[in-house]
Amino acid sequence: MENVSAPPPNPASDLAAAEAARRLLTESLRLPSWFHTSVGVAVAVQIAGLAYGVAADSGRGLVALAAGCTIFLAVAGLQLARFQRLNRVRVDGLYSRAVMGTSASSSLAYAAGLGGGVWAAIEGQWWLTGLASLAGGVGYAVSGRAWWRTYLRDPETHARAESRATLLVGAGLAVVGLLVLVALT
Amino acid sequence: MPELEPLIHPPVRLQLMTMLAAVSEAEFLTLREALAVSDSTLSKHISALAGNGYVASRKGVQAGRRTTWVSLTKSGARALREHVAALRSLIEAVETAD
Repeated sequence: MENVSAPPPNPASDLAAAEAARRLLTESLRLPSWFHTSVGVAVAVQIAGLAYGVAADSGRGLVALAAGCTIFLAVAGLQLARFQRLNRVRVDGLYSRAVMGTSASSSLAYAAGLGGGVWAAIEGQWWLTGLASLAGGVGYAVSGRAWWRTYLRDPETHARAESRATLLVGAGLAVVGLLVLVALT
Repeated sequence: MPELEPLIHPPVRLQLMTMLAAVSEAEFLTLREALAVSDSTLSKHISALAGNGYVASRKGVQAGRRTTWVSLTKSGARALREHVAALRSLIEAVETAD
């Protein structure tokens, strides 16, 4: 049995071995096929549904809004389950930042896409709504990909998700934003 | 001055905690394969670290089979950071002395 009370005889090699083990783990991590693309498409659909829902202000609009959210949640849940099954690890940072869009660039891409999409829908410019939704989805997917690269470079710093308090504040702001949008239409 | 944590001295425990710091949670099987140790050896290390509140484990089901998920706790992450800092100081001191 190893002696746990004596100082390590070779700290440099112990540290190198630990870092090698971490590298082995993170370098073996694989994203499921079409991960960022499917999340980006789901976000585009969700933005389009939300924009139509806000502009239409009818039963059909509510159905579109709910359908967009359902599709996004289904794709997000499926891809995260596939990631976990493929790698047998959980990375909360991937869940929150790349999929739920809590990173600054994802949030910005989403907000810009949604803002443009809703405005265009209210103006009846449906082609522009589609374009804004697509742009939001592409920005979201690109941000997710960039986050994944950042995580692989420094997994210790980026593995964790935001605190529950931060997520609650973010969710609260999103709800307030949605209510403001609905009130303005 | 950061202090060495004797509980993390064994190289396998240092490797285990360093790997856990890179993810939120990992399956027992993943850790066992990466560390190339037996089930019982890994279980003993996890129990020792869990006894001190450095790691947490829970039972779960993955793809229809029962499995154990292991994660680093906040106090484990703090202990690991201090231990690694102490190791770096030790290495630096040895290099300076040379």
